[in-house]
Amino acid sequence: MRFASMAAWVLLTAGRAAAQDDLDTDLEKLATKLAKDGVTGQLAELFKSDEGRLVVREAITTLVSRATDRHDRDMTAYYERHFFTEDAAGNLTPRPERKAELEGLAREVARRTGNLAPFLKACDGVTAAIKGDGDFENRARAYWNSPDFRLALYFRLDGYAREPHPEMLFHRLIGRALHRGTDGKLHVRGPHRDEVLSIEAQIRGELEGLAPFEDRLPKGKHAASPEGRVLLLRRIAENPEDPDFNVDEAHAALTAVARDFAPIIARTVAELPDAAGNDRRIRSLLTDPQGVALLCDLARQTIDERRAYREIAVENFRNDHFDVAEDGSLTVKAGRWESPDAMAGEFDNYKNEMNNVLIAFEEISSRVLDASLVELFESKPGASALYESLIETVEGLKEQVRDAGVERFIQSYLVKKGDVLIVRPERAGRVEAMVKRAGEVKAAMKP
Amino acid sequence: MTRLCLAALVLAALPASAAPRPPANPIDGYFKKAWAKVKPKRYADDAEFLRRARLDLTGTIPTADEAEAFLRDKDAKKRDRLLDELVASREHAAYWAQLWTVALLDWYQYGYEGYDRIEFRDWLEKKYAEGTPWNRIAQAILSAQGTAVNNPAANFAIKYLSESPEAFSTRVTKTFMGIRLSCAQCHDHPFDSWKQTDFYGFASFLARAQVTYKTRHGDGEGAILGVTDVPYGDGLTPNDPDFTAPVPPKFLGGKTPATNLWRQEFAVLVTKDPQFARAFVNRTWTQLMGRGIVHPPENFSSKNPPSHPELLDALTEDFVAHGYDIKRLVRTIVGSKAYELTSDNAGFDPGSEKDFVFAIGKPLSPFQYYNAVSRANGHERQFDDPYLMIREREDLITYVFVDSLDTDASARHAFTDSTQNLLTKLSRDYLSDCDVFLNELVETADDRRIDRLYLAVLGRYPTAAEKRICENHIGTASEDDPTAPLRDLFYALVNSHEFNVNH
Repeated sequence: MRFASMAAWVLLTAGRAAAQDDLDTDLEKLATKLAKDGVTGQLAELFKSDEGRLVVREAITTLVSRATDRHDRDMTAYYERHFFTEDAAGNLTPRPERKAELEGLAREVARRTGNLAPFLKACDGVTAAIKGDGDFENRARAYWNSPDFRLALYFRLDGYAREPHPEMLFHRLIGRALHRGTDGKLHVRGPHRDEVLSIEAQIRGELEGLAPFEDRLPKGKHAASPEGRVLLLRRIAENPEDPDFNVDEAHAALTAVARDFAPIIARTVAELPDAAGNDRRIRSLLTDPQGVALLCDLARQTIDERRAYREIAVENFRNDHFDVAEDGSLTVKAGRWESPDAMAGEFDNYKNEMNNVLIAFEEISSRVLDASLVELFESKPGASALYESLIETVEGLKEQVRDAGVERFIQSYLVKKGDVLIVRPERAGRVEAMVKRAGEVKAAMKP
Repeated sequence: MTRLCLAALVLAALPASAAPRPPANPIDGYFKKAWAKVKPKRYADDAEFLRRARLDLTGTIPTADEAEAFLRDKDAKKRDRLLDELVASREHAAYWAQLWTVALLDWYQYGYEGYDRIEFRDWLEKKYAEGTPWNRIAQAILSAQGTAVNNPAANFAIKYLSESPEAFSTRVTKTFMGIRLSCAQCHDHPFDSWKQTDFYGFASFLARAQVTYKTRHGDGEGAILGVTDVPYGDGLTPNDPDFTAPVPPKFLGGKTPATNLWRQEFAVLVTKDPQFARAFVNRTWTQLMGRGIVHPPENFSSKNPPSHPELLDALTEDFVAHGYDIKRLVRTIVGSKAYELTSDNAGFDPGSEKDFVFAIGKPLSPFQYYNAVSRANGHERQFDDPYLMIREREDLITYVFVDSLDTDASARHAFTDSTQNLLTKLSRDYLSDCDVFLNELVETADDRRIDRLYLAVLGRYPTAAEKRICENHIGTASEDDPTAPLRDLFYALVNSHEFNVNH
């Protein structure tokens, strides 16, 4: 019997990863599926006592932690396996089911590459402002002028590089409270639930406040679109006597966000049930064109905030390294480093941080055949996006391993025989050792 | 469906896990001897008993219809029947889960907290309703692995392990064992035998637990926390110059780990410790009787012995012998003669509270107060979605307390005078709209109006003198606002000592 179907037959919990009960309850359910005699019967008895379950959990945790440790030791290999298949020659081919993920990564790397130009301009400003001919200043100037160091800084200041993209914006506003339930659908759940419902309530409240002004909307191009309508209604609400209907610029910005959000919202609505309660609240919002327009406006505000943050990010970094004179000129901050060599050492470390990530991805870029993928995985401006992708993907894989602890134990220790499960013959010795260990644990835990 | 109808339905339903009736109440046997010296006055009348049982078991007052039906019922066994129905009800499971959610996770704070209190509470309610023994519930909470989304029980570990293993262990000793070990974190306990090494040895059981952090789309603000464990690693190294090496794990009493799963083993050791059952029995007693056998309930120590040690021992033995059955314990306590006593304490010394010769009046907790006012004024009926009422309740209570008083959560479910002023503010500023109820009263027949007012707010009929005063006041009504005198009477009753105390 295939592993996955055997595990599902045993646990009888569809979509278990979506909502676990406690592990002890799962083990008790598993016990009812085991043969009652021999070493299998002894294993079934283990599941019924505190010390027995502890010993079994030990075995499960060992299976799980060894697997997750392998993920940590060789993150690139697991990342590679998630996205690619390998042929006999070692060449990598993207898995069809990962196409959307790779396209998302490519879009993010392109965005970060696009954000590089203003960052380099900011570095130009810092370099030009460094005054003096001392050893510190000369070496600082050389580093800040160097392309490799600038790219390393760009990697370090990933907050600068990271312009919130539509998926991230939607996740921050709504998606972080949507989680898959045992029915496979998305539901409003989890620790971010209240914040997301507050956003929904805020938008609903604003719509109610704008509704009385609907009959005062001017006829014209913008009144035809939901984005235009909410912008115009806001103007009327702000100044009912003499509203300013010039919303061309705001309308352009808002419709751009709405365009990006449209496919994400369509996908989300398709997976949200039309059930009562919080699911319906969010579904109603996402199917109300003017509600969506206001949601897009919140996203636009976040984009503006992030852009403003960029100026501060470079400034903070600069102020950490330099003293700023009244005329704006810079000298290396007194006492920040013991020596110019110490400063150079820290700066070299920034470059090493980025290069370590790129070296890891070189294992992939040197074996893919598609030129666009080679370019993707060798992108220096996009290195922070590649790193984030690596961390998120591997953490996701580790979580899947952790969620499937009992399934792993079943696969490792048990095999189906007729209507019951029995211990694999090659595991009999281990189970007998677990039974003995449970006795020792019981004696050790005696009050 | 309105909450009124829902409440009636859940009371009528008896799910499979209805509480078993103990054959003979051990509490009665104990107090038969104890009351030989100081005799109680009398038992509570039906109205007092109904209101007390309702508040203690479901966190709210009876409706006017419930009160009237109970007061008119002539069945000698009606109190037993009432207790059976309440303990088996979904409302009781929900209220018990609410009490323990606050005890374990503190009160709601604004904004993102990293853990999911609502799913934790729902999970607790489900476990309680199913009849899961307390030791199994506690083990599941203490040993849980998973994320805030995929394992509701993990939210306790996520909350405290996100701070530190020390925070986790302090909370465990306080809430699950009734011991204040936290003093020993910085120095040897001044009043008890705990040493700093005891504290860190205990906390080191959590050293192999790890908090996980999962982002999506690079959105750190939308991260989901989780907790997992590894089967290797040293104990904690305290941030204290007296400690230069990791402290190996050592449970209270000296047990060292027998497995590699320190936190899971810790969970079993906690639940097997005799103090675990004693603390739970004592806390449940405190919740229902108004005062612990050890009081305060989180202060078991050599300097604070139990007022009735044999009673505590007997109840604990019974609890453990019956598999840590929570409902059985609750039913035993509320089914006792001690629980049934009147709260009229005139003639008794103030110190005789600890003799339990009268029912101790407990000021309504903020939770009970919100529920009671919402029921009395009809406010609760506007909520088709129970979640919305839960949300409003938590927001309002947090707003009142966070803005007005820098209390920790225990005070918000404790019986302190300082909460009363805040509760009055809660009522005045947020729950003052009683139009729903008043409009119903206006439609009620003249000779029933005062009765319905008293039944809805206080759960009893008015005395003859009270009725006269009310009728005289109603007689001052004007055509412009016929409800004005009723509104005055409603406010007077809601602000009365009788309403504000669970007696």
